[in-house]
Amino acid sequence: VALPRYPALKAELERWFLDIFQAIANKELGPFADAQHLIQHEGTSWVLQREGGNRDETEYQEIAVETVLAAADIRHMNINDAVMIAVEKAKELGAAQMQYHLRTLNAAIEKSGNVVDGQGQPLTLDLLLELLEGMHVSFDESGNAEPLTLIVPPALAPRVRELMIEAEHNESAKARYEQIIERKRAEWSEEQDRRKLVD
Amino acid sequence: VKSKIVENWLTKVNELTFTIPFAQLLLSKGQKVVHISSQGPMEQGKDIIAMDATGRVHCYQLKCGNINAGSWSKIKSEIDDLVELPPVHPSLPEPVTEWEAYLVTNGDIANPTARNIADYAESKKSKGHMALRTIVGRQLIAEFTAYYDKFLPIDVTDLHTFLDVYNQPGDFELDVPKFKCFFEDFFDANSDVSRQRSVEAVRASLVLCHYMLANKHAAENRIETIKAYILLLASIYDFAERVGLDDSLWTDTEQLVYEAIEMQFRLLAEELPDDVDDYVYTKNGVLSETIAFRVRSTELIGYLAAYSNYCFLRGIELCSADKVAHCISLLDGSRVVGGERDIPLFINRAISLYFYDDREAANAEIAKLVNSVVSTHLHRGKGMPSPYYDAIKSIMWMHGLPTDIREGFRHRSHCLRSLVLLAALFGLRDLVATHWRVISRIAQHEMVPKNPVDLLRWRMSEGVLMCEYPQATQSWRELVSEANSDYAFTLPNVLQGRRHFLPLLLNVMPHRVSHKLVLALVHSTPPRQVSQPS
Repeated sequence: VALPRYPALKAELERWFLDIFQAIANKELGPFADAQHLIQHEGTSWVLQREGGNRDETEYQEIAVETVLAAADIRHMNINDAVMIAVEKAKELGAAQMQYHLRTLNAAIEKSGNVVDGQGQPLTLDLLLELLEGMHVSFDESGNAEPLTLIVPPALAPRVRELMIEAEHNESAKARYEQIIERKRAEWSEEQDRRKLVD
Repeated sequence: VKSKIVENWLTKVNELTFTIPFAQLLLSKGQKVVHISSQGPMEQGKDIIAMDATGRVHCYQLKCGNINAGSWSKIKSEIDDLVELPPVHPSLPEPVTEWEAYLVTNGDIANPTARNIADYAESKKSKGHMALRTIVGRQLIAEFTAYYDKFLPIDVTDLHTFLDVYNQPGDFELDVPKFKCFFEDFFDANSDVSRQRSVEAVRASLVLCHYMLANKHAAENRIETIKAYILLLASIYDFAERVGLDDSLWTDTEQLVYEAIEMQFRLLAEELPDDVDDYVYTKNGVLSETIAFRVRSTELIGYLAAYSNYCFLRGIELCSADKVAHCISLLDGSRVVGGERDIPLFINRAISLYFYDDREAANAEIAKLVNSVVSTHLHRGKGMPSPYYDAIKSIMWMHGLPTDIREGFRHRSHCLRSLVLLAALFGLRDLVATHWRVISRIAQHEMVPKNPVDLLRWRMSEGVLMCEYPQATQSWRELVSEANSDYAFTLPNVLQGRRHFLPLLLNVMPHRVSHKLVLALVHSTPPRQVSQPS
């Protein structure tokens, strides 16, 4: 039977669902959500070449989520049910993307040897400052440090919050933090001074 | 439907826009086109001179619309020239004593006039001149249908695309991706066929292109028509190289496409000073024209510059140079970089100034461009949209208006490397030194195809996106050395001897901009030096 298919209506609704899907998936990315996205419009792979000639070749990985709805199910569903499915699947996709980003980040950190091993000891201010020592800190054109992001497992979050409060009142930790930032600023300036044209 | 398409197209065209497809029809019929007259005053009454396989010369006078007593009396003196004056051309045997003379119209000949023309032909013949033959619209429809009907799209999707472009209002911008992909699909469908059929496909493509451009031609939308011809040529080159078609089998059609491009540029240059609105058009919106005018100025100068580079590299004298120069001086200050898609337009302008020895202006053009690109990355700037985005999306994004662009461009550029190397080539060391701190933090993007011929595709299926950071400390000498490199070896074979196509290609497919193509262009040399200043 050639009953109406309403393709225009469905296209509008699908676009709306996709917007919801992307917003929720993006939310799951946490600190990676604000990272700049790059879309490769053609070709199959990309190569990143850093200054000094160090190269990384990236093959794309497919990250997908799947849902199966039978016609019999659809008959009993309304728009709220559909939104729930979109939200649930978006969270799954976002989480999978987040895991991928973390794996990539960990691999890069390990490759560079920039790992601080706590050797099973509880997280302390000293350990946090030691982490900071090994990090690359960027500064803007006025010399202000660009904000840093700390990613920790959920179980460690309360401890980190305690340490942040502790740091506010620990003069010696504050002084050490300032020293580290000052050193990073000097390193940054030195690095900027290297950015020049020579004969 | 198909013959209706041909009929509908044929009734819309005028003599000038009909000349090229008619010449293509002659090629398909086995004639060799020796000469196509420019759009200027008719030459010896002959719009097209051709020679058949036996060496017999055929001369055609093209007219538009129905021929009645009034129009016949107006054109009679031209027809006298057609039948009385022997064709003269370096490619013809000297002297030509006999030739076939044709009056061709896309309309009809009214009954009493047909009798007059027959009497006229008889009378001329009796006086020892050539007899006049006529070809009318109905015959043309039959011939175009016979030769090209089988190449009209049959598949619903292709037909839909064809009709979409065909029905688009003439004053609209060409849907560039749709147009290009239509011809890629057209040639792909003809890539696994006999050699003869491949050659016929190339010939038919020019006629199909003309069908699709009927409204653009009628609206005299020159720039968009030129874009279409360039895209068609890119597809023909792509096809010829992929199927290994020998040059001798398709370059006659190629030459007709260049004739069409040159004709449109000549008309554009001639019409420029007559623009009563001074290039400001308030149709479709007044406030929005404040932006549209700048986009128009940028594109117009960019295309005129590309044409001047094309002429330089082919050793052709630039037509109406004074009119073009006046237009450029009027619009130069109104140009705007509305995204990286616009940068090839500016690069073409800089290179045209360089080619014609206005080094100071070329330097100023590059300096302005480098400053413009670098400034978008300063102070937490967000860069500018990559050349993959069309004018509408890029401009909306640049003005902070809603778009569906879902990526960021900070510290990324597809064009900066080309600009830096042009600056090095032009000796602009201070400019590069001033900006190096920022430039060295911007990743230089380049699409490298697996197969060079993919450069001629709208999207390459296999290729690597290179994102390369410059050295923090950069040697000027090395930059200059790289700027003096000629990357012509990276071009597809079909473009090796056709570098004059590069300035045109870069404007229409700005996502193909790379330091390799730009340097291959700037290091091209003309067949002979021309002294025409732009």
